[in-house]
Amino acid sequence: MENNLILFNSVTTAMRAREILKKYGVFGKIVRTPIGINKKSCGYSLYVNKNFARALQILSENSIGYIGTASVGVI
Amino acid sequence: MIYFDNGATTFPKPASVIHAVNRALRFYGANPGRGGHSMSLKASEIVYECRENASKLFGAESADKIIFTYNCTTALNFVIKGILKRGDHAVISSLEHNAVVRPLEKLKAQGVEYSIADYSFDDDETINNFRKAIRPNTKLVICTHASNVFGVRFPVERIAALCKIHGVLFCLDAAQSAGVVAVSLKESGIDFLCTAGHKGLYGPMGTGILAINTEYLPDDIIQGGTGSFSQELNQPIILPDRYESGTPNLPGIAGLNEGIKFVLKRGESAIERHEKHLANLLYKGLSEIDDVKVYVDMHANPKTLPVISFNVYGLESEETARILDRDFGISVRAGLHCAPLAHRFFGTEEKGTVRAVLSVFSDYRQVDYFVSAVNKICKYKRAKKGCN
Repeated sequence: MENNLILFNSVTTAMRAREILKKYGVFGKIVRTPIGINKKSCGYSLYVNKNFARALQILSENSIGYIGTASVGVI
Repeated sequence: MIYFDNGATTFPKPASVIHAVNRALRFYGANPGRGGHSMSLKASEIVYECRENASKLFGAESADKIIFTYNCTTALNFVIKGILKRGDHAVISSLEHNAVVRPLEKLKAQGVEYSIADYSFDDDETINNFRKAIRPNTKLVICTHASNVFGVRFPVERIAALCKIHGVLFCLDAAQSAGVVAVSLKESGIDFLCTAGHKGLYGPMGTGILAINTEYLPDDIIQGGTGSFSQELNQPIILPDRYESGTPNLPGIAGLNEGIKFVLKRGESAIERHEKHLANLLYKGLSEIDDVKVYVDMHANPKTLPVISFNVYGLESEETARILDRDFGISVRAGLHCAPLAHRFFGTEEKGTVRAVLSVFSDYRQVDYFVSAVNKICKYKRAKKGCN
């Protein structure tokens, strides 16, 4: 399964990432980071079901840091 | 009851602010940014929305540059104590509040010096006074946007430009002006903006904002849990977490969010126009009373904020305020307003002044009643003097 979850260190960064992606037409949803994925996360991740690679590219272009990506089932 | 103590805190608050505080406490009073459960997420969404709205209001680069504090004083302390170290020098204006002066006095013991640049009704002279006060080791200039006692405004965009030329950081104290006078951090080059949430932004008490517009970040003076980087023993350096340790004031921020939306919807220019129109009427009414001295001529200084300081000859400012409250149901603040420097500059340090500050909810009838009340106090005082 391809990655669809972006992990953040801070809920503010996660929300800022969501709003920036929205401006580019890429939509994500803040979700609780599933147990066992990454204990270093703030507890929230951004679930991006479509255009995941594009989402990461946009975040990189906008200097939004994230701590990793993961794959989960449909949320 | 007439409330003209809006310089201390605005009252009443918009209904949307009251409802938001109520909703936060009743329906999503969880700890934002912690816990990961849905109620915490809802709380985080409100906090983030408030950051976005504050960012929009102040023309900040992004929402994460908006730091929530407990009032303007805390925000100013974060900047002053986070930036200035031994051997550094700061410049402040001659009208600063104790929220600026006292932290600097405290830092004196640690080898920090500061100078005072005098205000002038002539902007060019004010700028020149700041220019002369800047030294090679000056690191920070702190200036109020408008005096909390006399309402006179500083040319802050020009001061910001002067600071850029000299490579000095500029911190704006917008406690009295936020929500009334528009400021754009991106356009003005102001590095730090500190303000209260409970004044012109119509939020609840216990809310304040530090908006950051520079890559040069103050050292953090409070450390603790942030809900992020929990495995790290050191304070995170990302914004806003670095300056927001401990549980935030969620009900306050929820209310502040609605207060900022209220200001954004009405528009600062419309708010300023309304308040200044009333302030001009108040000024005119008071200045026509023989026994009243109003300290700033609002007609000659049209940029002055709707803050009017006056005294009734022969009465202490505290006594005038007490009579207005007791006999007329009018709330104003008297004394030194935590700004002894400003009173020293205007020669009112001995007796202080009575301060009337208007809000978006003030109206003509209140202004008329206020002028009439002061008139009656003067007539009573004259009659009493005649009897003696």
